[in-house]
Amino acid sequence: MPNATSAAPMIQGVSAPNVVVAPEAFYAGTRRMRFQAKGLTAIQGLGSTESVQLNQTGVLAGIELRVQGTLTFGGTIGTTTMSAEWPFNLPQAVKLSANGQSNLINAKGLTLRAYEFMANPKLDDSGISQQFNGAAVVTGTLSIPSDLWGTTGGNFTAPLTNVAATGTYTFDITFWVPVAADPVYLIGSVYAQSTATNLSLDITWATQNQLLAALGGAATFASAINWQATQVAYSIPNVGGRYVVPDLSTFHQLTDFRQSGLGQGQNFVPLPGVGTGRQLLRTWFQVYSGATPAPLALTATNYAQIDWAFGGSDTPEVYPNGTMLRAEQIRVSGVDLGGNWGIALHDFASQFAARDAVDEGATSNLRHEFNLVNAPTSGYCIAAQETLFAAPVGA
Amino acid sequence: MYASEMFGIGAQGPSYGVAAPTQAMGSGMLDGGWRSLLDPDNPLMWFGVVLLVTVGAAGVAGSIRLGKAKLSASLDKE
Repeated sequence: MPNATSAAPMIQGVSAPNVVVAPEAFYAGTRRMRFQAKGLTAIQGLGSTESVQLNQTGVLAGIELRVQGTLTFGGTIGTTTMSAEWPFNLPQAVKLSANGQSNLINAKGLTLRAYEFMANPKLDDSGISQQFNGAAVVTGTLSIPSDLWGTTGGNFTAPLTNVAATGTYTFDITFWVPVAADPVYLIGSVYAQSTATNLSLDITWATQNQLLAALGGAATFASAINWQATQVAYSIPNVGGRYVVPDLSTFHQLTDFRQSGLGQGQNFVPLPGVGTGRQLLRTWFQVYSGATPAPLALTATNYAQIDWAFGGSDTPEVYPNGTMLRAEQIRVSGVDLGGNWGIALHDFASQFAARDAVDEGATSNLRHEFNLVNAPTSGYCIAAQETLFAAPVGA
Repeated sequence: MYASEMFGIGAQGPSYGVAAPTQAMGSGMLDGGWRSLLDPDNPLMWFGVVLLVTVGAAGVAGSIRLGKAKLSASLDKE
């Protein structure tokens, strides 16, 4: 006698009755949706954390964030300098947890913006003028035309740049939170069509000390910051009496972390969380150095050999110096990631992921290796990794 | 499109527990060379059957008469 109470199929750990995996039927029948998860709202203040429960609808592919507002400098400006955390790292940590998986996304704003340029070849920052390190720069800023990094009159708030005068500086920046690894086939997206689904987005904002490298002795500072979030999801169509979904057997993860204690010569930065069933799509790092930490440009002057390695001494790809890697990643991503922001990228996904992606089950002790020509000052590294891993219960 | 196709995750490698295509092809050619002569689908097999019957009949003579019955047979014409 058939079991009349057999369990409903599970997708990503969530009960999903009457749902079948049929990618082609899904693509033909679904509809792209874009709806508000959080209206434009003032943050509680710098250093605070905001949380929002996302809507339980469809298949979640990504989230658009917008952060806008003003920075107001009063009194006597003196020597007031923005740090390298401004503007992209105003969101110090964007965290997405879904269906029991915490930290699917756990990344700084710069990590999100850099990833967008790596993964989306349509983006191009060439010709967009921004201030960087005290000078006007027209490429490699990772800026898009809709960005406003902070202006008042002819003055700017820009990374590693002095604020010229008091005033109220207006800024407006957007970020894309990549829930899916692939925006076309939706690999890595999250099944959200269930009341059992738990989707939470948490954002921790930078502190004043993180944003400002220096504030003039007689200067004052105040901020008024708002944020909003929009979900991009796809409806789950009913085809022939069954609900159909794409391949939801994997989760997509983008995380970053910090490692200090860097020195002149060879440095090793192990990737955390490496394990069987994980596929590494991209990983990158920046090295910060200086009393006011600034990213080291990816050049032969700053870097000797750069590679990624695993096991004892397996080094599949070796770049003789920073300039060589910088040129390679321009060819792959179409943007100069290393010139200003000093990003050193190993990209296993842009050309042919099924061929190049790294199976972490066969690459224990996966790590970055790089050789610094000069001793960094209080050097530390911000590294990021993008992976795919099997969902708890595959669709 | 599945994750295994696009990103290689969970992709199954070839199974080396069964014959590789080249091995199968090799053994198949040998079998085809000899055993196919006994295959009913092979015209050569039927040609062979007809040939054997014809040659065999030359060494066998026989007659049947249905009037006043006569039935004779011979296995050797000598």
